[in-house]
Amino acid sequence: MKKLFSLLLALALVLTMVPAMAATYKVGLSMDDLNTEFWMGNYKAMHEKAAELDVEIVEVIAGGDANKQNEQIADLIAQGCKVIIIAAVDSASIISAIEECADAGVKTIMDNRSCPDGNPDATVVADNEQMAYDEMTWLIDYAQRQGITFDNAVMLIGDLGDENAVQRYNGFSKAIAETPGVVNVCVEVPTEWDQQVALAGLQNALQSNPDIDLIITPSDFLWTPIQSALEQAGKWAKIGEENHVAVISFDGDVNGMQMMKDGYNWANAAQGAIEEGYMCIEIAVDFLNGVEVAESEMIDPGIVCNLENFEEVRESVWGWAGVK
Amino acid sequence: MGKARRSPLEFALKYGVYTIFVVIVIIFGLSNKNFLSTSNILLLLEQSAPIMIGVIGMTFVMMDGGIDISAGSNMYLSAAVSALLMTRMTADGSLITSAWQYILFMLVSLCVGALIGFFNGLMISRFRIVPFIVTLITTSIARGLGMFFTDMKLIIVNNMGFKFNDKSFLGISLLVYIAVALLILFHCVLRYTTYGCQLKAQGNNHEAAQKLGINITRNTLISYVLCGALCGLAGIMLAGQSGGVPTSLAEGYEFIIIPSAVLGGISLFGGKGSILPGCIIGNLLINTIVNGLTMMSANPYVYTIVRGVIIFIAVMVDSLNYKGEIR
Repeated sequence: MKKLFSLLLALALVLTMVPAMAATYKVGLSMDDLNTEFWMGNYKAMHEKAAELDVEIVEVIAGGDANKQNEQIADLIAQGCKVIIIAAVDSASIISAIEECADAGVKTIMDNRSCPDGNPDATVVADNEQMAYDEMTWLIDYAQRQGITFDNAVMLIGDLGDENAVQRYNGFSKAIAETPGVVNVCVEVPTEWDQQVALAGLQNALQSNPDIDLIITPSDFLWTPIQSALEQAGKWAKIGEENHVAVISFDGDVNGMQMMKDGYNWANAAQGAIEEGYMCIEIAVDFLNGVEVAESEMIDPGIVCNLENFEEVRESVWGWAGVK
Repeated sequence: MGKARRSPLEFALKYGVYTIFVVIVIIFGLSNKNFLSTSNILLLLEQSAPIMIGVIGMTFVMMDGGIDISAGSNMYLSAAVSALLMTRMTADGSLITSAWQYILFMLVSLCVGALIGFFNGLMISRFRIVPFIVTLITTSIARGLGMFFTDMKLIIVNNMGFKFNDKSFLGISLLVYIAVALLILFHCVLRYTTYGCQLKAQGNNHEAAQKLGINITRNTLISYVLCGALCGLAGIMLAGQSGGVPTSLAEGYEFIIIPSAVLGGISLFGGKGSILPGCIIGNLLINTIVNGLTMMSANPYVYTIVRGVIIFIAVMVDSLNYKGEIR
């Protein structure tokens, strides 16, 4: 038995020493977490494009830990990655890692989350504030045309350390403030991107304001707690049905688009999860080929899908493909 | 001989959490008429129920002077395994409706959690590895396994019919009944059984307990299995409550469970505390504050600060109360 075990161990060691077929390019990828459909779609798109362009991806996942992410990026530098794509856990904490990369001559590409106070070599990002603003502006305009107001709205907020969450909050708030009297936010609920926290916050909000008529969510990731809380309050109803609570969401993932199709969601600001993933790998290859990018910030324009343009634009939203 | 009078500081240290709780309830009660409504009180109990079950498990481990950092990941893996089983069982489009199915999924989660607890307990009791290190490793393994099994996807369980938000009796959520039953059961286990008494004794002094003939290896193993099993059960309850199992389910919840236990008087140094009312007050206090802040439409940034302050108070009070040598 011992001999067999030794033989297997030796074989395993030999196999690990056999060099793999080396790819043409090697790129580091530091993800925050893969806890939402958006990040999964973005991650898979990068792998797809990497396979197409013969790129080897050395990846690490920080699991929501900003310090861990910085350490992992140091490991990627040590492993010889000359370009690192970063989906930052925290827009402020990542600055030191970006500086470390610059000192080591490693190019950095920010994936979906910008770092306004840092100096990355490229940023692929949707203009979250503008998209949230456009989405809310549409809702306000639509409500005015229909002669309705939302007097008891709840605004869910993502993690306050996430630049995107803050931008979405700012975009929604700016549009509401510009046209007073249509949407009145009575409660703001921080969710920390945690479904349980979102559920408890919404339940609490429904207790204090049983007449809630609009939920503004910064991500389609929060649809399950929204459904649970509204079901419990007897308010899970489709558009046009009694007790319906309007919801507008963000991301354009499969759950959010399903809710639009099923008649619960009024609007969805969709980022290009797949396009952003493709762009990150393409820029990484450009950097490795010595090509500098013309603009350091690549803006994914995104799509605001709403009740009025749903039929027209739904096919362009990345999450629509998975809708049943 | 008369009883020695407690100084106000001693009183505050011993009953400080209860005093804070009462003051907070009065403040929030005066600021919002709905805060003290029956439905809000029942909601608070419902929200607290799953974490309370986790706190019960953690109490056994902490009573022994140990700690289980893997509680949150354990909850995720246990819920993920059950959710995958649900996906298989409802592949034909059927819905989960019978009580037996609910019991089955809860038992599956409980068993997965118990297995993780057994691994932790074995490493700690038999191989004498430090609890913090063992459970830290298990944290990573459990969440990684969950992500691997689920292909890192969010599993929506309420669409398969598995939800607790519509399960109630006499207006009280099923989750509350489960939590209350377990609180009473494990209060009796800790207080009235030989195992409970031995665990308290060994938590105070492992060497002395061993000299007295107490099987500390077995007791430690049982405490981790109990903690694992109860965290597993709490995991599926959380999933049924929110409606889904994301990869971030219960991430970092050990840092809610442990302070909740400490707030309830269960010492980080072992050998001290009780299930009732210890396991109720801590988590209830945290949830009450969040509930009250939402009702007051507080600034979103305030929540994190308040939670941090509560955890700080909990640990400070425990340290000030502790009279023995810090191990």
